[in-house]
Amino acid sequence: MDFRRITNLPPYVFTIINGLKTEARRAGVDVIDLGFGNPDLPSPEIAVEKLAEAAHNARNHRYSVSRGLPKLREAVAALYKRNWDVDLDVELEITNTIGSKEGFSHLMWVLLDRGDAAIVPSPSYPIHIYGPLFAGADLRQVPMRSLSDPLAREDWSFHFHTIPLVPPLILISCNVSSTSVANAR
Amino acid sequence: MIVVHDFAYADIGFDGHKPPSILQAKGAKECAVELYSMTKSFSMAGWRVAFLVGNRDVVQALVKLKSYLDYGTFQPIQIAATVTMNEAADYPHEICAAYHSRRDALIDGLERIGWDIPKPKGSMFVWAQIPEPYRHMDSVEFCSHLVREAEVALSPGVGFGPGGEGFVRFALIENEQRIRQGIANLKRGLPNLTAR
Repeated sequence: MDFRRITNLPPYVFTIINGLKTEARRAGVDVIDLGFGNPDLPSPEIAVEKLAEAAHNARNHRYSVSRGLPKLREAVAALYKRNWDVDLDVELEITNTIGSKEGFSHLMWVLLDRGDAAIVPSPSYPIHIYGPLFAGADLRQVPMRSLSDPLAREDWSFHFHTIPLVPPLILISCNVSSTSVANAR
Repeated sequence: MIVVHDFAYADIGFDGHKPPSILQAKGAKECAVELYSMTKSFSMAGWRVAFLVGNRDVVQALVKLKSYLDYGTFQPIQIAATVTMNEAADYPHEICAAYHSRRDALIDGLERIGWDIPKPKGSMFVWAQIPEPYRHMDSVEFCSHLVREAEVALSPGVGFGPGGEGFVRFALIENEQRIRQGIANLKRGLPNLTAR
């Protein structure tokens, strides 16, 4: 069977290295894996305690609220005020998402249509490339430069002139690396 | 034009660098939204708790779409996330400190074996250009070589698009002792580097 959104997906290159790693580990080699960005630090004790406590309460065993409980959104507003002095309207300017990838993917459905384009830095996370593509939009990938490159800081202004700006358009940015920490500002 | 800022490493900044929220910029709410995640800041990977914040039209449009798709995160997780943000507000600093010392262990160690990399100012990753004596390899070949000859697995830069070719990515997800062991392995697997 042929599935329009699936058939043309390139193989995930990380699977090549993962395959070699798994093979080596099976042969008894202690491979140190600094590849997959899977955090090893524990979640805060209080998160685990509250999860257990709330899970024991049958009132919590029902569907919840898609955009998040009011108290959850209030906690986000407080966190933004505390950390960045940004004011957020709890009713209108915050929604919970089921992780960033879910939020991002569905956001692309909201923002993009056929004929639209997303400007995405390269390198970027695969989701920043495939999110817009799954939504049927086009991509304009903008090369980023390394921190040690003297041209790094001019990057965005330089490349913007070279991108045909076909509105509507969205720009996706993420500090995927040391590179874009410098450039995304 | 709408700007989407994926603020995945919001709390992971080093050497006094504090990653800025795009919403701090004047007029940002007219055109920008930001994704904030608890995955790295509170080390809650797999809990699936993140937020879209900013421009209200965009946020409400996503709310409407999602109302057709899901009934929200399991409520005990929402409750735990709420209490954590309110009562463990300093936890991201501890997480940040751990990544900071791992970054230093990695970069200082690599420098000693002759692989110089600029110190990133944030995130839980270190990007490194393939060292000079090995630049005839692309990033997949180089990473394959490292699994076989150094018993270290890294991510090939090309996995993040053509702009990542020529680079590899280290994730700071092992403790310092393990990182030092990894550097010793790399030294063995990369004999053409000139150690200090």
